[in-house]
Amino acid sequence: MKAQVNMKNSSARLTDRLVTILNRPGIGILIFLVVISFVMSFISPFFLTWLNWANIFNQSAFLMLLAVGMTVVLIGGGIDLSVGAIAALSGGVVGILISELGVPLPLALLCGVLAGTAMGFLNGLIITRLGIPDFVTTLATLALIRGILLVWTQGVPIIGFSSNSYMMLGGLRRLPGGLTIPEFIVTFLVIVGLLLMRYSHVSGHLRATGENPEIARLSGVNIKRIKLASYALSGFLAGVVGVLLAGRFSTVMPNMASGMEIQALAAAIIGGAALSGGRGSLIGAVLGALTLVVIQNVINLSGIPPVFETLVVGAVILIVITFTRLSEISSRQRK
Amino acid sequence: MQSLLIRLLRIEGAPISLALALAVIVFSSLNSAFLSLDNLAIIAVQSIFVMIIAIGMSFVLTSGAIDLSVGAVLGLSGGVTMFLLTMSIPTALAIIGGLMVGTAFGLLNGFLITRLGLSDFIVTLSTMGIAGGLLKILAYIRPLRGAETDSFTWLSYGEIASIPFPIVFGFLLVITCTLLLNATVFGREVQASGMSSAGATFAGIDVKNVRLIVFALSGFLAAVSGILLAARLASVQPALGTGYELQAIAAAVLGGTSLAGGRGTIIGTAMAALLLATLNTGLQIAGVDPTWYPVFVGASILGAVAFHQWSESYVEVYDLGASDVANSDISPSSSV
Repeated sequence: MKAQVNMKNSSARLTDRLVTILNRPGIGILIFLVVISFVMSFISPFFLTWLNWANIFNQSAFLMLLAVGMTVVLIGGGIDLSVGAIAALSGGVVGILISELGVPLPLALLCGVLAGTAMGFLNGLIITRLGIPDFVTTLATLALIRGILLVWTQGVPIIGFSSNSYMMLGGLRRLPGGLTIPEFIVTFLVIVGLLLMRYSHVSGHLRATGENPEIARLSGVNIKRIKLASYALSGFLAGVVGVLLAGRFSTVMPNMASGMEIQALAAAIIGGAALSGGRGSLIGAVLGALTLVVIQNVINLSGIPPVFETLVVGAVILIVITFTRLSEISSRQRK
Repeated sequence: MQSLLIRLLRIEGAPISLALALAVIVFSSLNSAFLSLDNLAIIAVQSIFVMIIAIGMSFVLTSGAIDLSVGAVLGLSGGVTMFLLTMSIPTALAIIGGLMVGTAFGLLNGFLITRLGLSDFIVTLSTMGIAGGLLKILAYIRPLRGAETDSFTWLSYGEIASIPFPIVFGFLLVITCTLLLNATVFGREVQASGMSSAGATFAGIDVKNVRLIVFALSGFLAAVSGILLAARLASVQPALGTGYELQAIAAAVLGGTSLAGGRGTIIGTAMAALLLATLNTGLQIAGVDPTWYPVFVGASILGAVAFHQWSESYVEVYDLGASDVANSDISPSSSV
């Protein structure tokens, strides 16, 4: 009798522990990725090859950076819809500086990244100083920046700035072993970000600001400066993505990276970030970006017509969030 | 003088109507062709499509939520109607089919958001992908054009007493929806839900039900707009409706509807949709490069919201008197 109760207890504890593990951000996606890889290895023998995964990583590098930036902004209780436009502007700055003014590549890259950071800073200033809602501000700067780029280029793609080293930097040319430079840049920046989130007091302030700005303010957090910094960081990462994308494409179209803000947002949400602020995980964002690119890859390899892609991505996001929500509800009922 | 200004600012839709009047004066002084009756009618018809979804968006925003799927649902509903027409199904049935698809998407949004408690932003973001994806598949199966019947074309080109039908329709819709939001119990419930969802619940309002209806309404109106647009364009492209959700949000916010919920104006929204169409056409007539249009839209959204915040704090400070000025610094800002 007693042994039975004990057994029941221990099995309940086991499921409890299982539920806690399952509820950790990123685990759900990881399971999804493993299952889909398993299934896909039967459908296409090419899927589980090194070359295919090198491709996937190379393609997802840019989205990962944007998703990480978006996650930081979301944790702080904001949202940044302008990242795609900022990336395009930064790429455009590099293209013009090299092709028309003959500026050396490193200096042009620096200017491009600075331009992105400045735009992010501008977002932050408008939001914190003028008190205009995050959503409206970044929606408006999205239209503004794209518009400036269109007016500036007259809709004609910027060309004639590419060079061997720039293509190498953008990941168009591979290093020996199939790896590319953007992959290293992303790995480096994500590790820096993870260390900052883990060991710096800034991350606590960021979460507090997103959770409840009023209480954070009363506890002595400078919420305006935290928010400003989160937008500047998002702009900086968008700038990095923009200058790398320019290298990858060898041209800058005025509509480069359009719609990437929605993908970055989706990746961040799949990775466990909440729009209500205070919650989010950098690893989750990276995995979320990877998931979106893997879905694309699966559609390409399994012979599904590409027109199905938008539908599948939308459906996957909906399934992931519904599943997360249901597991939340069931774990609450257990308590 | 001050009290006059405040009284003016308080009239529903007054600031945006002033901006519209200003835009019309500037554009007509730049080019006399602008003020011709034909041109004004074209601008009005062009504004209808965004206006209809922006009215739905105003209801959703007022109830304290957001609907990003309206552009894609607009495209899909137009596409479904066109698809049914290419199967030689009677026009009336094809239109009903399109309306049902739009309303079903609205109900799906509302169901997931209110019953499962999912975030409105993410749900409508993913249904945006699903509806947009379905339209692409429809257009992949068969080109969506060349099947318009006379009565279908009439929806966008017909006239009632020599006024274009879309204008008559838009006018009636604005009046109906203004009454619905301001003069019915349901309208009050929508506003209360957006102002404070907990407070509304305590007052006996079924907030979940209100939001469900509001999302269904938004989906329905998106379908209406999509069907009219399909009739106007006589074809449905796979990307129809892309970006319309942002224009709808822009129109609602420019008109004076609050993104934070609780406050909405249908007349303001309609005026703002007219203003966006006026800017689009006016800039072209004035010889400004059309690439400037997004710059103007972005700048005007920022300007409008900044103006709104200023006018609100101005009215508030004036109302409360000087003693409360210090407090007003903290209370109204919900974002930071």
